[in-house]
Amino acid sequence: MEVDPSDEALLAGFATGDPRTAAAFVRRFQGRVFGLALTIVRQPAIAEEVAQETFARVYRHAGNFDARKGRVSTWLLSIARNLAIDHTRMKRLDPVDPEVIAAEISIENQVPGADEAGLQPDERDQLRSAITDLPDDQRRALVLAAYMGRTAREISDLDDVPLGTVKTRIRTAMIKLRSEMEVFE
Amino acid sequence: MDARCQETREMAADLALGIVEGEERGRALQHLAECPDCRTEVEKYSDLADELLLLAPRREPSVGFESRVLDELLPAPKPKRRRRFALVLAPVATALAAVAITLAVVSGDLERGSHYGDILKEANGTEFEAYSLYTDDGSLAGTTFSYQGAPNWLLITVDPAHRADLRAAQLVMDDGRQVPLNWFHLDPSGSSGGGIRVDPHHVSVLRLMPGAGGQPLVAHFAG
Repeated sequence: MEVDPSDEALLAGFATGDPRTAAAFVRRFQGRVFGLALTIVRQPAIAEEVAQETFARVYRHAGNFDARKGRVSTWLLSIARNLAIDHTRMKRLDPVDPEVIAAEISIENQVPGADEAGLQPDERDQLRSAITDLPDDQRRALVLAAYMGRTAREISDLDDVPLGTVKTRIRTAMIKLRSEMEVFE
Repeated sequence: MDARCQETREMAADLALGIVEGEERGRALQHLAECPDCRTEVEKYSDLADELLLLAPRREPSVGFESRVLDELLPAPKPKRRRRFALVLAPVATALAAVAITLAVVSGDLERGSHYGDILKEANGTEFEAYSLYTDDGSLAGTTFSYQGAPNWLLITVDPAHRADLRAAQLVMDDGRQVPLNWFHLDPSGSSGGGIRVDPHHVSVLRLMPGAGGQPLVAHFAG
């Protein structure tokens, strides 16, 4: 039986410039990377720039990846998120409404990739439901922090609420979601 | 749990999301470096932060995206310093020394000498090749010698400027599998050699990996 190479094996091949494994690596992750970039920047052309830059950065820094500290997919998505946020700021893109992002990430029953690690699809759906169930102000603060890279102080200025209130909203939301995840552990 | 732990755990979620700034962040990171319990607590929230990003919907980029990425990133094949030897080897001093050293390691009963064709025959060898090791920026950093026979083996030699802190070696096969070379350890002369259980013909890349901050070295076998 043929077994798909692990994410780590493909990353190693990609980093060394082996054309076949590099192509397999890009194919495996391009949907995730482009999808996240598009969620944040909202414009396909810019999202492709972000995705392309993400792979370039991964190629250059693959040696820094430490499998003990996390999964390839989440490392890749963190890079994509940060680059998307940078592009949003540099190009002065219109800020997306956090509720739009919250709605998109709450769509259940997405087809999972064969490579998906971490939570199982039904567990991920449960996490989505938990996000939907959060009070509006908590969900908004969480999305601003997790997807749009806003610090607590920036959210406080943006929404004109005290810094302490923002922190409480985010912490409360994270504690609720974490308790959902603990059910799976 | 002391007051620092209490303070750090209260902001564990904020730290995982990266929304803590300035002095507060500095204090927390300093504490996390010393406190494994608090680190574990923050890691749980980091896992959650990771999962949040994985909830974003997959979308396929436009046709040709993969090719554009690969065209931009993958360099045109470098001319390889590759020599293929039949049973009678060219008299290259370095290569001969490497063969002699490594055959002595792998097959202790073989004598070093000048009849290398005979040695290859005795070790059931069919092929002996040399590939250059490069740094990320394309500088030459050493050589690896691959021998196909019974057993198959590799000898890796690294130039002095690139030896520091190389900790591990692995082969990446044509199919993407990774094969660690557990015997890898550079001796004072910058060499390391040992048997491999895979067919050298199916090795795509040899990768030498450094500790934090070091530079990986790579030799491409394919082509």
